[in-house]
Amino acid sequence: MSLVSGVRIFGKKIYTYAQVKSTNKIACQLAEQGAEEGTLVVSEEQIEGEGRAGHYWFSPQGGLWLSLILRPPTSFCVSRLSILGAIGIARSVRKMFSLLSPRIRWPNDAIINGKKVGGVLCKARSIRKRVIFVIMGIGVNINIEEFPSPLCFTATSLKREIGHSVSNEIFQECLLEELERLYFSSQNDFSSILEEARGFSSLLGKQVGVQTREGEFLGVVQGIDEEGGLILRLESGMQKRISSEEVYIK
Amino acid sequence: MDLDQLREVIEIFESSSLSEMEIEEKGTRFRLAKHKGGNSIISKEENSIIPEKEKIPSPTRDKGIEERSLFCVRSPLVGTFYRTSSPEEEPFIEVGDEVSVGQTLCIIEAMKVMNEITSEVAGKVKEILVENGHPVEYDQRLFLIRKD
Repeated sequence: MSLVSGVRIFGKKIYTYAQVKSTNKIACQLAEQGAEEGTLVVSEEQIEGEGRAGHYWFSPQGGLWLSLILRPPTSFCVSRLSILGAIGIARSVRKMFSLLSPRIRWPNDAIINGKKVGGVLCKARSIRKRVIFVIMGIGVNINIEEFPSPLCFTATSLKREIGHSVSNEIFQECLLEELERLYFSSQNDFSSILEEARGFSSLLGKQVGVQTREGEFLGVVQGIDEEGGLILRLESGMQKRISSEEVYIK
Repeated sequence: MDLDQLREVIEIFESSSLSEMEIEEKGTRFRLAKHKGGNSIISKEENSIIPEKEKIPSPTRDKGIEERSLFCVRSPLVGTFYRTSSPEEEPFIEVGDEVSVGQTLCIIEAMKVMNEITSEVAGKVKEILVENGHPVEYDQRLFLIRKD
């Protein structure tokens, strides 16, 4: 696919490794050294895969572990990138396996049959209130057969869902194509992407718990607003917007 | 409250957006107010704990000095403020630390995007104005850094 000047940007330059601590860390170093937008870091295995808030991301051989360097324009709202990444995974799964029904667990997880198949972790670096680069880290459980406890209750892989192995390379190619399309089209029209996110959402209409510093509260998910925030109706009848709190299905 | 503490209060007040502030301690009340022209006044009520010969430096003169030396880091977005990259890690910075331009000061999380906020100036961290894990608003004051 070609989007800018007839040349695809995402994955134009790829750093491939057999094993790294974290693709996000390598991508961050490359970005600090001036690597171009679209530069990709891929590893067959991560021994210190990063999840949110220091959580460990299980990333053995068989999965797709990659980090993409982005240099968005100043007008771009980087908070949208988690949703874009999750949609990219969901689109790729649907495109390659029409029998599967991927969903998005707001804002950054892709799930199949209620279990996580992929996730997104973005890190943005700013100087003087200007974003100079973003690292979009993506993990997709492609050919992982077994998950340790307690992940076995919450995670799945494409291989487990469809019953046979999947080419990491073909899925990566499909994912990069979808991500690039989403990234550039969102700069002109984010509303249609939000509409797609709502369609993929696994939380709409569900009762969820939200963990905050003050404690937990409950609400029913009503939608996703124009900035990508999750809108809840609380037990009191009031509406509340969620942007960075931890949300889970009750 | 001793003179050094009072000076510190004045510094914080001067660099804030507050127009008035009152502090009461051990029966002594201090009131700080900014004039429309930008000058500040300080008045005290009841028993003074400040010896008469220790004159408080004129806040009007201090303001210019403070504006030049104190740098306020503000939040560029709405989100959750974190002083560490993960709960087990040490904070990026502590009060009294020297920081350089480009050094990471904190993370603000919004929509699961971790935004690393870096220092625009070199200097010493004078104050951390938000607690770890608290929500922050756009343009909220996060740190005071005394510039080198």
